[in-house]
Amino acid sequence: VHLEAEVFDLMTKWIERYRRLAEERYRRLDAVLETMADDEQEDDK
Amino acid sequence: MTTTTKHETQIIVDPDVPLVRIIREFDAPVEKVFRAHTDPDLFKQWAGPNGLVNEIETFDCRTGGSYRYKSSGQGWEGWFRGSFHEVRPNQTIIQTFNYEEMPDGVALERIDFEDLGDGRTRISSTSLVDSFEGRDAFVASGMEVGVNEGYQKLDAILAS
Repeated sequence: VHLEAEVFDLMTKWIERYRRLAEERYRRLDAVLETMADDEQEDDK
Repeated sequence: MTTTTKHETQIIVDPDVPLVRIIREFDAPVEKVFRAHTDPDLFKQWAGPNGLVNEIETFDCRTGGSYRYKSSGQGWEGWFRGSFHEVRPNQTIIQTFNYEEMPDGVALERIDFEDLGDGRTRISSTSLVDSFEGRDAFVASGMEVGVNEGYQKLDAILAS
């Protein structure tokens, strides 16, 4: 039971790190979305 | 210690099927969010962990197309590739995802784009692999980078 709890705890940490990586990635996507032109034209800078 | 924002990413790790689901909302219309996934010049700006730079070799995001790109940084580089199985504009992308160092470890990914109205969009991104061991390795992958990033961010927060 103790070992299972340790594994569960480790997995919970992995999941939180994975979630944080996804959040960081999507914050960069937020930034990309802000740079895209508001009109429907391609952003061809 | 956690900064809360209105768009914090949600993670669902399924207990019965080896999949991970990521849900996130964006303050942008669905056409823009979709284009940021299909245009390689936009995609490469945000894909992957912080601190890595992406170089696209192939990126043909349409039904039957494929992609291959290199991520590098912090003394590391790796190639990723996959097939675009089904691409429905502003709705769904179904693709495979593979880190080439582990050729048997292919994830099946499905990204659904939901128009929330008022220029907002919700993404649901599901990665399915063929075993729980594979799923857990997938969740744990990139953790060396992730841990370092986390500590750097924590340092910055603590210093501010």
